[in-house]
Amino acid sequence: MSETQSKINLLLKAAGDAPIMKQNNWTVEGDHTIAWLVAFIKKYLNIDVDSSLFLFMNQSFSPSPDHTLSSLHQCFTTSDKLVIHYSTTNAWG
Amino acid sequence: MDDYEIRRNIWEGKIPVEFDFDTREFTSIRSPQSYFAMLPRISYFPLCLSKALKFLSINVDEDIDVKDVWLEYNGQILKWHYPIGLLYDMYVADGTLPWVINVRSQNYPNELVHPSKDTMRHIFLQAVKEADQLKHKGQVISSMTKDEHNRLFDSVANNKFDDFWSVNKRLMYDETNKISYVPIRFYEPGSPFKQVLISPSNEDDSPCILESAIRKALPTIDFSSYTVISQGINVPLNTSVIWMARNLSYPDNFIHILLRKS
Repeated sequence: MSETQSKINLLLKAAGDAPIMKQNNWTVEGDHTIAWLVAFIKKYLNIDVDSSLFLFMNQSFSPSPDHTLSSLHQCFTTSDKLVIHYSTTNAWG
Repeated sequence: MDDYEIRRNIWEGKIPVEFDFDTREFTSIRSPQSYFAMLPRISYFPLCLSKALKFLSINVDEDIDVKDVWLEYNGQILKWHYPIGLLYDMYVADGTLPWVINVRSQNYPNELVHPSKDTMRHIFLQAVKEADQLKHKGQVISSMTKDEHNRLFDSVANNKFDDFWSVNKRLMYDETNKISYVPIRFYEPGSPFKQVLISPSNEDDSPCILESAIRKALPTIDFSSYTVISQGINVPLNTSVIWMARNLSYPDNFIHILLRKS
């Protein structure tokens, strides 16, 4: 995966009791951060900004809010899609 | 490979800080309006503010908790979840000491994570999990008990080197002594950090050095315009990254490298 490629194909999967997004495939700028993605999902699902939303990579850790999507894609996936799980509870904490 | 002296010195590194309480926001504050403290480089601000806040509470006749304040230096918001030493290296280019930090109470920045101990514990352990995912596909951290995970965080919060390393040694040295990738992040102030896959060895089995790792993350970098800093040290570019992973990492098991424009 070229480092200069700027867009990331995202697949967002609900975990636990989290509501399922009608559209869960998104192509977004690679330099968006996890903090941006949290706000994006909350807005889409009408979740209050102050409520908890946890994101998980490889069903094993929650990435730092400052992680860019492109660095996550580079480091943790071999496919062209970046799969991220979201949950309102700390599912794999 | 294991430099006990270095690991010990890194752990014990401290920065003298002067907390200045913003008199425009703490309008009722009596003198003195500053509090001095020596803070561990490897710790986090929310874990180190209790004495300063106790002092402040007495001087304003009000109970001030960590969630009521935020920290600012030179117009920069100091992120709660970044190690103190990394923040100092990032923002105090001229090496001024003491580090004079402005304590604010109003206009709380939205982007700050919650400074509660629970949130700090969560963020810290997630970073440790991510580092182990890179090193050992997560196998070592998932073989540890929740109690051991908590001991990693609590020993940072309580500044206990031996307690920390009694657990951390397994994350650093497992039976196979093989790590897949070195957990390392590169920071330039004002941008999100860069993180890429860095193998501990090159194709010819020679150890990967810092210069190669930086070039992988920032292919167009001109080294003559930058100083490369970690743990307050100007790190030589020919340092082996696996040596750095074992001896220069922060407690979250990441090497945090600051690239400062000279």
